[in-house]
This record gives sequence, C-alpha cells and structure tokens, in this order.
Amino acid sequence: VTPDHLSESLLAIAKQLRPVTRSPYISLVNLAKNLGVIVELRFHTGTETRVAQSDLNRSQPKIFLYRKSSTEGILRIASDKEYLLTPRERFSIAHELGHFLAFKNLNAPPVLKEADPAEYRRQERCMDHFAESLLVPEWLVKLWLMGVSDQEPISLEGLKKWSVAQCGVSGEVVASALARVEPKVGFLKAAEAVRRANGKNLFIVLYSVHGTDLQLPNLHSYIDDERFVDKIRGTSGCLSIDDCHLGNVKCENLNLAWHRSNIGTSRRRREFHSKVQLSGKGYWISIRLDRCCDYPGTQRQLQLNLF
Amino acid sequence: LPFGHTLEDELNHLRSHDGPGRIEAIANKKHLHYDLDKSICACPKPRDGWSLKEVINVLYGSVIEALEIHGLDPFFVLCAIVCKPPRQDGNQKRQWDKGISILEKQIDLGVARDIVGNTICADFLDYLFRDWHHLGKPLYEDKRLYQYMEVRTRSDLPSGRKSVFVINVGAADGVRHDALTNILLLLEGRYQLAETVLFHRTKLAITALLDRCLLEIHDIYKKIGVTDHDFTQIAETLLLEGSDDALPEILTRLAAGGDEAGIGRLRERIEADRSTIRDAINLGPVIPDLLTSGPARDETIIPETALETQIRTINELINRLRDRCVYTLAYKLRISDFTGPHRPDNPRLKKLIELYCNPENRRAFLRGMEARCNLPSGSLVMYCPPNAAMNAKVAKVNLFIEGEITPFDEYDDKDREDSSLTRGALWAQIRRFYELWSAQVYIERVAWDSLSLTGKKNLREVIDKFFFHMRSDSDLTIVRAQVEASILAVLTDRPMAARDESSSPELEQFADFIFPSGLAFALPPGGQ
Repeated sequence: VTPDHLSESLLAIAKQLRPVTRSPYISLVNLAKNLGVIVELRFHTGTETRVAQSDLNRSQPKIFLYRKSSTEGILRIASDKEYLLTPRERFSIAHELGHFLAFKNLNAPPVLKEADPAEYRRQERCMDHFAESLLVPEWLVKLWLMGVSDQEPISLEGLKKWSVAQCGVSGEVVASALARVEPKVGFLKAAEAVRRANGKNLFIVLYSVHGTDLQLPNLHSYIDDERFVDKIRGTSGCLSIDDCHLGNVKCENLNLAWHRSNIGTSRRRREFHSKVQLSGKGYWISIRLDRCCDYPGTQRQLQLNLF
Repeated sequence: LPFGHTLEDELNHLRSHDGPGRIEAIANKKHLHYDLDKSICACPKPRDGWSLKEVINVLYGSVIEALEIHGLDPFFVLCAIVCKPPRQDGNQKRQWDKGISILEKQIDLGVARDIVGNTICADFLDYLFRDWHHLGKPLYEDKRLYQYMEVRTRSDLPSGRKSVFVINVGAADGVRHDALTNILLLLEGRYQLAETVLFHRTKLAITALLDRCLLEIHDIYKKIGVTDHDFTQIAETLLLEGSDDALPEILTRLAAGGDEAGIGRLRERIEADRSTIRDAINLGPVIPDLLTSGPARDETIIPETALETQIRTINELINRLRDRCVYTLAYKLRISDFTGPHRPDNPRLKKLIELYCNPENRRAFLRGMEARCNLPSGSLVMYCPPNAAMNAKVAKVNLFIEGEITPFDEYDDKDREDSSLTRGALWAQIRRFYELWSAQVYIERVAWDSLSLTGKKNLREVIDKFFFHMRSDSDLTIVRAQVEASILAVLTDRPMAARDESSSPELEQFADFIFPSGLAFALPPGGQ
C-alpha cells in the first residue's frame, strides 16, 4: 500500500465512520468496541514519555493509552467511562484505530521505527490525518465556518467551544481541521520568552497550522519582530498588521486575535534552557489573511449536503 | 506430575523431597481417624490421633532395642536410612551427625542406604516395575538378579571393617553373564521409561508450564514481602495436603496468597496500589490551558493493579495447565549441540545447567524474551534437566568380580568396546542416556501461530542467541548486534503500533537488563 493510497483509503473510511449527524461528538471507545478493539489506560512508572500503542496481533486487538503514575496498573475503558480521558488520549485512540483499520482492511501493518524511520513518520502522519478527520469531520468544520465572519480571525472562544465542549478534542485538532478547510486561516500557539543575550522579548512557536493561502512560521521558530511581539499583550485582543516577519516568514495583511494562556513548558526543547527564559505564559493566536474571501460554491454545496 | 521430584530436584522450587525437613513435616502430621491394628499393638490412640512418627516409634521400638541402639528413636533410624542429610549447618545438622555416629557403630548404615535407595535398590526396582505396570506395559521381573545380591564385608582395611552391598557376578573365569544382562535390561527399562515418559516432549511442556506458574507465584510473594522460606513452607503445606488432581486448585490458592496472612498482605498491597492509581486516573490540578479542560474526577473507578494483572496471567497459566494446553516446542538445545565431549562433565553443559537450575534465572530469561519479542506474558516456558547424567546411575551398581568390588561402569572399559565385559553395550546405553539431555523452550500455540514461517525461524534464532553462549571468547556486543535483525523480523510479525515513538513500559523496565547468558536486552548505542 503506497502512503498516498493508505491516506486516501483511511480518509474514505473516516468519512464512512462519521456520516453527517446532529452530534459533533463521537464516542471513540464505543467505536473501538464496535470494531472489536479494547481500550486500556495503562499507568506506568517509567521515565520515558509514552503516549499510546496498539497491539494488533491479539485475537482481540488492544489500544494502550499511557499515563504516568507512581505505581503500575490498568484501567479498561468502558464506553461510559470515556469522560475520564483527556482530549489528547481521545486523539490517540483515533490515531490507533487508524492503525487497526489500516492493518485489518488495507493490509498495512504498522511500520517499526527501528526498521524504517522515514516510513514510520510518513505512516504516523497518515494516522494523525485519519484521527483528525474522524474527530472533526469536514462537514462539521464547514458547518462551523458558515456561522463565522469570513473577514475576521476565528474567535478563540469559538475554537474552545468547538474543541472541548463539542468534540472533546484539543484546540490544536480543531485548529488543524479549520485550516484544512479554510485556506485563509491559521493558528499559532506561542510561548512568551526573553532572549538571555540581549533581554529582548520574543515568542517561541509551540504550535503552528495554516491554510493553503497563508504561510506561518514552523514549530519552534522564534518570533522577535517588534511589530508583532510588542502588540500581543494583555489577556486578549485583536489587531491588524500590514507587514511583519514571523520567524523567517514575511507576512502581510493579517487580522489577528489572541488569548493569553498558560503554556506548559515541560516539553520544551533543551536548547531553550540556554538561549531563552520562558515565562510559562503564552498566547493562542488566531490569524486570518485580510483579503476578500468568497466561497459561495462551497457553502451552497454544503447546504445541499446537509439539507 | 509427581510431587516427589518435579517441584524439588527438577525445578528447584521446594526443598528436597528426601531431606529430613520434608519427612519431618509429613511424619508429624496427625491423623485423627487412623488407628493401629489392635492385634499388632494394643497402645491406645492419642487424643489427637496418630502421627506417622509416633506409629513408627511405637511399632519398632523393640527392633531398635534388639539392635542395641541406644539414645535414638526408631523414627530417627528410619530417617538416617531413607533421607539425605541436612544441607545447611546448624543445630539440625549437628544433631543429625551426632545420631549418625551413634548409629554407624551399631549397623552398616551404608549397606542399609544402598538397599533402600542408590543404584539398583528397593526404590529403583519399585518405581521401575510400578511405572511400567501403570503405563500398561508391565516389565517381566527376573528374580535371579536378587539371588546375586550380597553384602560383602572386609575387615582388613586400615579404617576397620567395611560392608558393601554388591551384585556378585562371579570370578573372572566364570562371570555370570546373565547377571550382567539382567542389569543391562534394567538399565534399558529405565532408559525406555525416560525416553517414552519422563522426558517426553508433552510431559516436559506441561512440567515447564507448571514451573512458570510457580515462578510467577513466587515473584508475587517476593513483591509482597514474603520470604523465600515462608513461600516454600506455604507451598509445601498446600501441596502435601492435596493430590495430583488438585494441583490447579492448589496453585490458584497459592496465587491468591496461600494462607490467611498471605491473603491479607496481598489485599493490603493491592488496595494501596489501587489508591495510587486512582490519583493518576483522577488527574490532580493540571496546568489550565485555554483550550484544554481538566479531566473529570471519579472516585468509584476500580483499576487493575500490576499485581492483579500478574495474578490474572498466573490464573490463565493455571487454566492452561488444568486444561492440558500443551505449548509448542520453539527451541531445543541438545547435548550434541555442545562443543566438547557429550558427557555430563562437559564444562559448558555444566555451566548452562548451573545457570538455569536457579528458578530466578529461568524467570528472568522468559520474561526478557517475551518483552524482547513482544510476546504475551506467560507465552513462553522452558525446561532444563538439572542433571546431565539423566539417571544413568544404575550403571554404577557395585559388582563383586574377581574378588574385588568395582562399580559396573568402571569395570566395563568404555574405551575398549571389543574387549569390555559387555562388548560396549553398557557404555552405549549410558551414552544414550546422556543423549536424552536437552534444554527446551516452549511457546503458547496462539502466539506461535501468529508468527510466519520466517518469524518462527527468527524466533528460534533469537532464543538461541539469548539462551546460552557456547564460546566464552565471543564478543557479546557483536553477538547482540547480529541478533537484532532476527528480533526485528519477529517484531514485524507481532505488529505493535506506537504513537510518538512510544515504547512499551516493559522495554524501559528491561533497558538495562542482562540475560542470564550475559547478552544485553537492549542494543548498545551505535551497535546496529
């Protein structure tokens, strides 16, 4: 199975599994159960960071979600206990279900990282894409977009409502789904920091996603353009920027909205320690390219699909 | 699954079955409803019933008196004949030695012991004919050999008088060849018993499964702080009270804590672990994030602790044992695979036996292999015969020939077949016994069937490399690097998807693990 074929086939399966319904939420544990897969939360005492694995070779395949604990144990997640899972763990279930379906339906076993690191990463991206499509299907994104202005950046309150309250996923997953459908929007999660060498403020990009019409800095980029850095202040706000550099990317005509947030620094890169001082705070930033946006065809098509 | 040898001499889980500790445990047990035949002895039954020790002391007191043995009771005399001496120094050993020195002055203790249990002895003749009888192929018992059994005494030795139990095969010019043939037949009967029953693959697979059950149960006891001595006591008590058929139930009880104290300790530990895990389920204060919410809290959740998971695995193993789920042979190391002589004194063979006689090493190897090859816990079991002589000791029976006493296998020249007494038949048979030795690793059938043909071949290769090293001069880092390709081939057949490069916690637990053979679990950095 070629990576492209795998990706396309999985997206087709995701579409089948998420037909248009009234509910934006999908119970992944229920879905797993219907597919004959058991979901277990495993508590481990190790020092390594581990997220999830799935053992596909059993008569009844299992998905293991990992959490750190001071003692080891297992909790089998029943459908009515899904609320115990974090959004990240739910995404992991969706990701692992992708592996299960690829193995079972498309004869594509998981690639061992030790055997082929590049192929492993390609396959992982495929599964992430599948998980995102399963959790936040395209019809749902289009439905959301119908209710927002096509000139303003997408509201971060809206993003929170859609992700946590409606879909039970993280903001990143919904942001990525939005950027997949709407080419002019993007999202950044940036940590506030001070450069040790000169005491200048800057942002470090901890999450970045953008539509096809927009370019935003990559993960771990430094944003130190004062036209941007000095204006993102306070708890929340919005702003238009004509021209600035975000990392190495030159950006023009941006409409921004931001919301202050605590940013976990536990997963920061080691080099940050020496070069910059992180404050532990940061911002979610919603960005829209300030150009006329017209997708009447898309909206009409969606309306036809829905009604 | 005889309790006599399997759990003690073979698997080394319990103390020796013929040590004084075991016989004391059996002999002191009271039997409320047993009584003596009043026509033999008029002694009244004790209020709490007879113990075997009391019965022997009552019935055989007159015999001891007749032998003029003073200061020792009949039960001790019996133990001195049928038991192995205590292994550890201490009061028990001192008392034993003292009693033996008294006894040796009154009876030929060595002769008595040889008659009861040594080469050709009451024990051997009893189980050989009995086992074949129960197998449905009764052996013909030629009693002529018994007529050649004698006790020979020499009084001209510097150390004094010495008596020996021998088989008198006559003078050099009139050797009783029928006696030799009889001994060879007994040896052949013993060999066939070993080949067809005692070392039959199915029996060994089941023995290995029983071994794994006990290895895991013992590990549970260690985790809850029960000493090895206490574990042995609990296990022995339960096993002695049960029958062969009750073995699964006994193991289940043992896995649940054995006695009240053990059950309490286990429950306490599980409750404590559960409480800790509940904290991890109901995550404490998390760093609030705009777009993530803290997980919900629920105090009614009952997670499964690691101990419970291990007990679940043990119960699964016990069920397999009960249902005779015979594992499939995955790997076999024969004596002929060893470099050097194919004899029990082969140094490499001795090293391997020493290694895997230790139950802890067997468990370490099996757990390590399962983690290394992503095989389910409890899917591998192993059997390693603890003695490479493979019970060929019948051949060591003392012959009285040409006026001298010589063990049969020493008299029959092993290097000169044509001129030897049996024309090479004895040593050919002894070598056949040696060739019976093999160490084996078995795998649960479903796990085995999940592997492709290539995967199976590679698993054999992986087991071979991690099990033992024939060459002590080989660089283990290179050996480890060479086996990596086979490990990957097995893992390809055991697909395990991993998000964000997640690895099993077992892999981390075993990261620094060194297999008993000396090979590292993990590939050294840059070792590929």
